[in-house]
Amino acid sequence: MKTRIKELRARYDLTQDDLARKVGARRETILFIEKGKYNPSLKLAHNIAKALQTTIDELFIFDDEET
Amino acid sequence: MKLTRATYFIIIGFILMSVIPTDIRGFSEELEDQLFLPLLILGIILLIIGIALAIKDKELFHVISDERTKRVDRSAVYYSWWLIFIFAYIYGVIAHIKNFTIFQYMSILLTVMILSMILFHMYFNFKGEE
Repeated sequence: MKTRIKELRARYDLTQDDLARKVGARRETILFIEKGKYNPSLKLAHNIAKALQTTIDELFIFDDEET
Repeated sequence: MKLTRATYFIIIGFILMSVIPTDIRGFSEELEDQLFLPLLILGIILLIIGIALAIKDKELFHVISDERTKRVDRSAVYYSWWLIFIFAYIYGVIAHIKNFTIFQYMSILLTVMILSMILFHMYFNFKGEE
């Protein structure tokens, strides 16, 4: 799974720490999600999408969508 | 349990300064006398690094936990429990053969318990999931 978190963070000029604080998570968790090394719960994914003013669909790119 | 990269250093520092010397003393007072100072210095260095990291991460008094850290906590406790279960049995047999005292047995067991918990926590924390 790939994400567009980094791209959207840059768009809104947010650091990993800023985003983590907005969604009530640790900075490392955001880092792991960005790298695709952690699959967040639906609630956290929703919170991140909301913080980045997008939808879960737009934020996460699943492997079967890439082909 | 709220372990972070800062608390790893702090706890390992405390273990090196207080727990390990006690373990060594249980087996050899001479060796403990020789290793006390190096362990103390190493422990203090780790403590300072840990406190510096906690200040840098703004987590000196309040540590944030989330769903990932809670999952890491659970995994560390689970694997550590099983390791200790097996270790206690094997070390118990060795202790019986070697005629260790209850102090020698328990001190090592408790040290392995704390260390395994921290090491498993570090492993699961940095590993992530693929």
